[in-house]
Amino acid sequence: MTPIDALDTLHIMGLTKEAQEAKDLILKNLHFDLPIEVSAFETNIRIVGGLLSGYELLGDEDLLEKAKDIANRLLPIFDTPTGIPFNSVHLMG
Amino acid sequence: MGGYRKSTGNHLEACLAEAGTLQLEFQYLSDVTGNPIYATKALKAMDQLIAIPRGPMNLYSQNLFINKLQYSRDRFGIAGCTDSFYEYLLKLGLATGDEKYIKAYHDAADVSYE
Repeated sequence: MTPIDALDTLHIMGLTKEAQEAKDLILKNLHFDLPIEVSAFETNIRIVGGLLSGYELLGDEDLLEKAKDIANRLLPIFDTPTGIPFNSVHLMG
Repeated sequence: MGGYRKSTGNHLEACLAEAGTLQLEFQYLSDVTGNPIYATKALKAMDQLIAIPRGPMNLYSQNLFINKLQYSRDRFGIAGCTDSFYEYLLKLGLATGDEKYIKAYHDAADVSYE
């Protein structure tokens, strides 16, 4: 989780090499086919948010694809009578 | 917080911060992908949070039901399960240009100062 959180900060701080390494790590190792239940809030602010700010700053479409992947797995949280979301979700549906 | 709760019990309740701290990311995702589904669902949730009948002095409570527009407990204040909801109200208003979120933020903030 830490490289995702830190990616945008590394870039803003001008640590280009470290940002690239973090990005490569993310693209190579980050996947969401995990049989676990996660907090929607934490997953959104750290992973969706981290990937999207990385995409915004670095422009790498692969980061956006990862963000879409995890966001799609979060979407079922909104399937409630009011539209107010559940606070957790299973990553594999 | 730490809501690993859906399968073990508290799937009937949410808190303001957990339900109201998703919108910036989901709005942005719709903006850059062109797929409205993320923003539609997330903003609807925000609108519903604003629509819940409020407490004394028009205060938001921290805990609410998921299956009906009603607070589940009377917990008024600014704490861990509340603060980022206000933050996202303001930021969402700025990001979307939709005045209703700015107004909701000011309505809540003004009462908090009292």
